[in-house]
Amino acid sequence: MKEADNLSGDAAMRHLDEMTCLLYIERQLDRARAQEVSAHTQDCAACRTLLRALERESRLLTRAMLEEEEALPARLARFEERARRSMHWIWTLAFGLAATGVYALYTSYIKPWQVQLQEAGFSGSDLLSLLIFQGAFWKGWQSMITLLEVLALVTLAGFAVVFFRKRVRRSSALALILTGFCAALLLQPASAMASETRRGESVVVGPDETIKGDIFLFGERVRVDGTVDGDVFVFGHDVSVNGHVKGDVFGFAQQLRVNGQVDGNVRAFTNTLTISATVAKNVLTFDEAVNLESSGKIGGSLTIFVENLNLDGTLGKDLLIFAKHLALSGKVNGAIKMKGDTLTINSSAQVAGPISFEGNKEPEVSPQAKLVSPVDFHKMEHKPRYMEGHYYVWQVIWLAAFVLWLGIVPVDAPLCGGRGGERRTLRGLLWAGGARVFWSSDRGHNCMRNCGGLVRRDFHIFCLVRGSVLCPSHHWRRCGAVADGAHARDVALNRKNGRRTGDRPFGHRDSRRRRMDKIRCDLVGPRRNLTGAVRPLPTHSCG
Amino acid sequence: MSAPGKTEPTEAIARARTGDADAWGVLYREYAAAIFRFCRRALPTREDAEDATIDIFAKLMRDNRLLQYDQSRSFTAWLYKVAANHCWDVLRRRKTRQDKETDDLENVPLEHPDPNQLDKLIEQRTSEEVRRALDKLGARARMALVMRYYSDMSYDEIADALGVRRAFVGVVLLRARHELRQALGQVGALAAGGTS
Repeated sequence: MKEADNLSGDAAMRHLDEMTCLLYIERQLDRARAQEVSAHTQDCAACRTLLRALERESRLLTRAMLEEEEALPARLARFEERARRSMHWIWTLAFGLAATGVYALYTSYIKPWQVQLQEAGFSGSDLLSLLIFQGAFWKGWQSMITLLEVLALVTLAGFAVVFFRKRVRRSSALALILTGFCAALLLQPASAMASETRRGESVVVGPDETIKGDIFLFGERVRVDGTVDGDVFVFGHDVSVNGHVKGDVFGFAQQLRVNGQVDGNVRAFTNTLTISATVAKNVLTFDEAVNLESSGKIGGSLTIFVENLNLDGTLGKDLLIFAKHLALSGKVNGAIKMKGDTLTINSSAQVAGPISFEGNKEPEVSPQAKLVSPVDFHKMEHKPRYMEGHYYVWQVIWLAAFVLWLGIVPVDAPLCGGRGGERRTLRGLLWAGGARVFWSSDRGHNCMRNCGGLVRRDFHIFCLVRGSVLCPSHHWRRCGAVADGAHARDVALNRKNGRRTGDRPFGHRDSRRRRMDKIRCDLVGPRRNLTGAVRPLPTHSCG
Repeated sequence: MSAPGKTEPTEAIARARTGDADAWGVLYREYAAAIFRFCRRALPTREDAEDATIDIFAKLMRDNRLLQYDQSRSFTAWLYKVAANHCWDVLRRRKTRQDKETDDLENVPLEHPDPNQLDKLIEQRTSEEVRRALDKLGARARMALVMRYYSDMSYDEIADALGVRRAFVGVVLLRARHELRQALGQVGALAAGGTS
């Protein structure tokens, strides 16, 4: 120390200054200087008294500061609880609105669809059963697990994920658990899957073959030329069904051509579907383009979500269509209900039932077309109805759904077992709100560009589910350790002062520190490990 | 605050580093009182101390600053360091620092007290009086005393927190003591003598 250095050399001639004494009792002097001070105080009563006074002052300061004269404020005691509880109202609101949204979604959309589908010839107790658990979607699964069991398992899996995320932090362990769960799910129904399966780049059911039971076909090119006495489940790029299928056809394909007779239903998710033969029952399909050729015939109804439909063949019952464009040249023996952009009814068209069309443009109807009644046209509205109250209700509901699934659930802690934090939650809310705005504008753009359609406009829930599934739940977490900034500064400071990392300043033995530590021990106990012996303060007076 | 002889809750610290909310609760219950008292000594009002305590823990939890904590060192000391930095930031933001700058400190003449009168003064004063006197000190003087005599921070840590060179920490502490004595109302008697 500078002050201390000034005194070196003539310490015996002068009294110690206060700074030197302070540094001495604080153990901040180097060894040589400390020895000089120690030697001086053995002979100088005034300096010894000053040292003692300073030491007592230090002790008094420590005692005054460490005494607990104030209780911990109740506000602090409640801080943790309040931090957890502060966002509860948002959770309640979000869940409540989301539940309302689900109910409104069902009553506003699903239930009318169900009625429409039933009117279109699909008999079934409910839409879910109709789409999934009846006909081709469900056959082959009936002996496996029931819907109730599926839901129970999924729910259980969800709780398990939440539970283990709180307790098992290692992602590998969590992955192992999930893998085990998935394996258990896969192994359980294995025994029930007794149907034939064929895989390969080119898969063919030969014209001379007769398959008893269901068949699963996976391949780049798939041809069914033979007879299948059951259902056909086909997954491929280019699929042709040329033979005779006595059950249903269930296809995922880029192109699916039905050139042979199908006694059951056709359910398809394809890019292009072409039917040029007879389908005895109903067709339900999601496609970009569908052609019912003039030789094609559907005995039941056609329910279709498509961009373009060319209907040149014969449809036995009703047509329910959500499409951009429908060109009708064939015969429809039932009613037509359409939502979309344009409808063209050519001269060769015959429709036995009423036609209801909600679209963007007036339908083009050929005067030669044979219709039982004129087309009932309603122009589709795309602009949000800002003046109507229910518009804002829906906005709030969808925002709540976004907040719930895209904001809070992946970001906030309590449900996911991570740490909480109001600001992070608010950040999640802001993020969710931003996503909602972006999504709305994107949806508006689609409405304008593609002229709406239920699939594009109203299947929000698909976006929500996809977003919630794909949203990484750990995106906020910082990976890797961060350098200890304060520690780094310490190291730099030590290096600057010529001391190694972790070194403590040299402390002389005769120190107030031991006494301070004793006081501290009496009050709160030792906090640091002190090294080195402490020499007692000299007690005799100087001469 | 960890009681005498108690080991630090290393398990809770480790779990808190991974983001375990329950572990943060344990750490909060363990250290909130000590950090509050530290802030109470360092900041002007009780409300400031409450706010600072909440802010310190909220910041630690929010940013998971425990990742910056070197587990080979004392957690308590590290926590005090965080608290000291926060309090000093609070005081700086409020521009309540009334101390002279570092360059001025170098030339400050330090009065030499009469040892006997100083000894007498210390003997007569109570802890309560010292606490009241502390409230009258400038921000830097009070921070320096609190860091040194409450949280037992080293000169390096104090220098780091206050943004002064390590060589001036002793000066800051000595000036703080002088301010404290003035606040205790005995400066005249103490500075009268001088033993040099």
